[in-house]
Amino acid sequence: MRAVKPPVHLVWRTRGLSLRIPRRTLIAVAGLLLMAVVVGVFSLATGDYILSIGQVAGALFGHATGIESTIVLEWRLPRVLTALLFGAALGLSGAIFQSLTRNPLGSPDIIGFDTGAYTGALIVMLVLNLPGGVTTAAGAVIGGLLTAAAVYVLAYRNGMVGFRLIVVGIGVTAMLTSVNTWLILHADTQQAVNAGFWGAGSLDRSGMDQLSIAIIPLLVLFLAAILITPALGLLELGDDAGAQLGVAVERTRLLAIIIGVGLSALVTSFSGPIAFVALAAPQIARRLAGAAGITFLPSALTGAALLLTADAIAQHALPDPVPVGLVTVILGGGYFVWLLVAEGRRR
Amino acid sequence: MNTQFRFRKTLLALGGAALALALAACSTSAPGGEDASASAATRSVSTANGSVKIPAHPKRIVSIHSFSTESLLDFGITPVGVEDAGAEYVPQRYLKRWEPIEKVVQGGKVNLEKIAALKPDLIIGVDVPYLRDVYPKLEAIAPTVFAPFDEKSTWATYPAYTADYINAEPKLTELKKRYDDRIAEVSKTYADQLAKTKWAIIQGGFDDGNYWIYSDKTQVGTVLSALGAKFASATAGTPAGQNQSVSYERTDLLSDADAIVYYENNDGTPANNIAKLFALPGYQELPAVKAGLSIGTQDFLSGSYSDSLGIIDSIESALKKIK
Amino acid sequence: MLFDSPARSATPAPVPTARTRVRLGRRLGWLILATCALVALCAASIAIGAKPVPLAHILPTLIDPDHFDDGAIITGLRVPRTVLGLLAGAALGVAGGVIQAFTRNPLADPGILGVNAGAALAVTIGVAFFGMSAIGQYLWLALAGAIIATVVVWMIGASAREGATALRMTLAGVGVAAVLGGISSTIQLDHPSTFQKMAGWGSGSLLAQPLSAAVAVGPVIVIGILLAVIASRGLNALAIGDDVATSLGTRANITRTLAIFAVTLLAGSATALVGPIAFVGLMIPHVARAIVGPAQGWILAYSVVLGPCLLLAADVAGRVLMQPAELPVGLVTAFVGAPVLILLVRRSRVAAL
Repeated sequence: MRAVKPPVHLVWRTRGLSLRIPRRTLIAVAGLLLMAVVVGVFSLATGDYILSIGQVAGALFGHATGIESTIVLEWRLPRVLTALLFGAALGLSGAIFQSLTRNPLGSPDIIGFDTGAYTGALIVMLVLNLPGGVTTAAGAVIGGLLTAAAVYVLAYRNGMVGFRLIVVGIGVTAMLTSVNTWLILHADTQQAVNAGFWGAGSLDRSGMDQLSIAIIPLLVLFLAAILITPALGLLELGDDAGAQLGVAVERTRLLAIIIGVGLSALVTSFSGPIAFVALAAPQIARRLAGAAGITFLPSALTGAALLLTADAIAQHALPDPVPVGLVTVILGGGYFVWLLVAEGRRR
Repeated sequence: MNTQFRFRKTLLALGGAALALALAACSTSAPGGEDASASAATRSVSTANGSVKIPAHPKRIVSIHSFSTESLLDFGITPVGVEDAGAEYVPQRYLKRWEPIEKVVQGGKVNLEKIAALKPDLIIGVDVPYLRDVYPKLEAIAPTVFAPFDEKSTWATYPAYTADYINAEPKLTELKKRYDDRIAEVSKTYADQLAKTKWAIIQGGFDDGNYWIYSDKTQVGTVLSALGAKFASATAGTPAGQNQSVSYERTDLLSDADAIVYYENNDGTPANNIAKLFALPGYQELPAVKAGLSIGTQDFLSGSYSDSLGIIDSIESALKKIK
Repeated sequence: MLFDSPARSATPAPVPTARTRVRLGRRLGWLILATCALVALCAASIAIGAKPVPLAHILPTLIDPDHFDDGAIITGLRVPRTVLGLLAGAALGVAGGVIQAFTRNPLADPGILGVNAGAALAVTIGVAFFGMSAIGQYLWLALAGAIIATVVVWMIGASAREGATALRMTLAGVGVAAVLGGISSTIQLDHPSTFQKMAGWGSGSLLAQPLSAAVAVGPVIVIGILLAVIASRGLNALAIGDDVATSLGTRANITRTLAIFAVTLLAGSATALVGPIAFVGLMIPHVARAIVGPAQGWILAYSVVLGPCLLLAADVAGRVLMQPAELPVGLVTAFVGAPVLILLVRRSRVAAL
């Protein structure tokens, strides 16, 4: 940081653990929370099944029965919570990867993770013909991990250059897309519908049961991320600097990769590929918080607010709902392009 | 520092809000969905998900698969909500009644709230993979009954199960008799032609350069088998429940077929990408095509007795041309 | 800084030497060899397919289609797809050569730069909202969509002060393709029959259009190639750098405009003809450059010959790999081309333009 004036910091000390949070970050965090609440309330109150605010509130506090209660408590509320949780996971995963590679293009969605996950899921659904969501999820995780690993290995040569990473990502994605196209073109129609739907990335499968499975591993990963981020932040200064400041470089990096991949894989396995959140959230968060580098808490919150908003748009903006993955691709891709133009002007 | 205090307070407030949300989420122990206004009389029917209690006389039915929709329309019942897989695939006999109905499934995506808003007392569907996933949620709206979708099911499975769900057995018996009579009549009238004709069943692929050969266990195949027809090597050699993707160049695979049945849209144009195959000299020179025995049917994916009667009509139109 | 700078290749000026004549001979020799390869591949494209046709039948069939039973396969299927492959391959190869020289971006390819996504979106809109179904209607729509996408990507890429660098163009292509692809998918989900109508063209196939389409688009491709040839001298100078080029008297802006016209016409009409096919435009100029060095005119000449070579070879491979079914050619080129792209970017110094 090259600030002339020392920025206003908020210092929080508890038993030796000290956290310095710049004021602007605080404002950003508060703003993001407010946005999440507003969009969350909107999502709870809006739908093809018309419910008044009073009815929604009544259902939330357990005063409703029957379908009204089901719609609010079992459909809309889990969907909102899932969007927040998954969005935070994607935002955090993106922040970890971007911090590790010191490049916004290190995001899991750029390096072919999504396409690989789709290939894995398609192989389970259409080639092996295995039934059930769990096997599909497992296939997606394996496919995504193998693809990400392949892209990293192929792009690594005397260090990791962002440009090489993205171009290798494009190549591997193109090959896997070919495989996916072939698989879907020749699948039985009923199965192809299912497979195509999975590939678009959607929160339609959200529910209390899904949430109860996803929440524990996600919370564990969140916690692990909180523990590792200080070291990760130091590593952004460079490996040597990090080592001098007492960071176990290789171990930190390995742990960070495991956490980042875990977050992304978990979300993808439940909802299918939701692209561009992991890429855009840390970048938006960085600007909101006015920070020089990647900020983890604002990234997670931005991801949460972003996915929740995208899902509200996907559900209500068109006469018929569309998968949220399409909205994030359009919005995220648009933001990416804007970023490119803005960065170019500034230079 | 002042900000420090405020920060803690914010954290506390946030924690409180999260807790309230979590509590609200956990308080849903009672399974919702039992519509109080539903008629008291219920009965149990058999479905892909075991025995399900449904209203004895359902009044507002939502159908989420074309097979059940076509069966319902065939029995004279108009659902309040149906699926939309593309209007061109809906057989003409249903099109006028299908068009104004609210569409609740689009491209495989089930709009749960739209279904709930229709306040159905029965939801009928088929146990295909993309519907299986939403079954638990549908069940919360209204009793949901899926006809099985497995190796044992044929097109006749869907009208049979659907009739059971809506007390349409008399109508089913009547339609079944009409179908059986028609099968008997056609197989008798054209016994000679059927004995010397081998059939192939095909459909256009979605990509260019390939068409699909179907097995004798498909809708058209089942009707042909009922007529006592024989199959050409291509269709006989395709495993049940699958289709075989083959290059346009391999029209020779159809060379031992005396007649070919293909899928056509409700406006009479060939469905999907097969028009290109038909335009090829290699196809036009096939014995079946030269004899004018390449026959389209819009009931290719039959889900009802009237559809299958339509298939018989298409087959008969071919049989008439055989000397 | 957000995006780290790419390794931009410094370009040596083509200095005339005493060995010019020797080099001319070498370049001509290889070109003749490449042409022979193309003739052989055309023959292979007519002789090889999912249905085995005896070699002895092929020549008589070309003269008199009714001579043998297999005649229909030769004249009805293999000849049209060979002609389409020739046209689209030449167009894609030349488009790649021009766009790489013009952007000084060794990784530029019409597919990577969003052209395919633009064409696909235009076709989707036409089919979904204007009820288009005739193949001839796709053609001009795809061309228009491709042109618009190219211009948009180029404008975004060039919006920076540093100009349209390899990295910026690639990123702009990725971003624009994502947005356009998302919109296409949304429309297709809302209009299920649209997907079914355009899936064939969408996966890239030499059977996507009839021979008549080749006749309609052929002149556009010829004009595009001519423009590329006219622009090639200016592009050679541009490769040295704008300042030098201006001082040498090249009217840089005219060259630029010509090059953009050539690329959009070529990439657009190729995409309209055979659907979105990536990587041909990427690979071919590199192969050409490896043979002839940084001489734009020669690179174009080689691209005209080598582009169809690649496309026809991929198409023939697609016919025999998955028998009795066929793989659309677009899927094969992706499988051949993507590893080449990865290899290129792994090499520390990409061949100078």
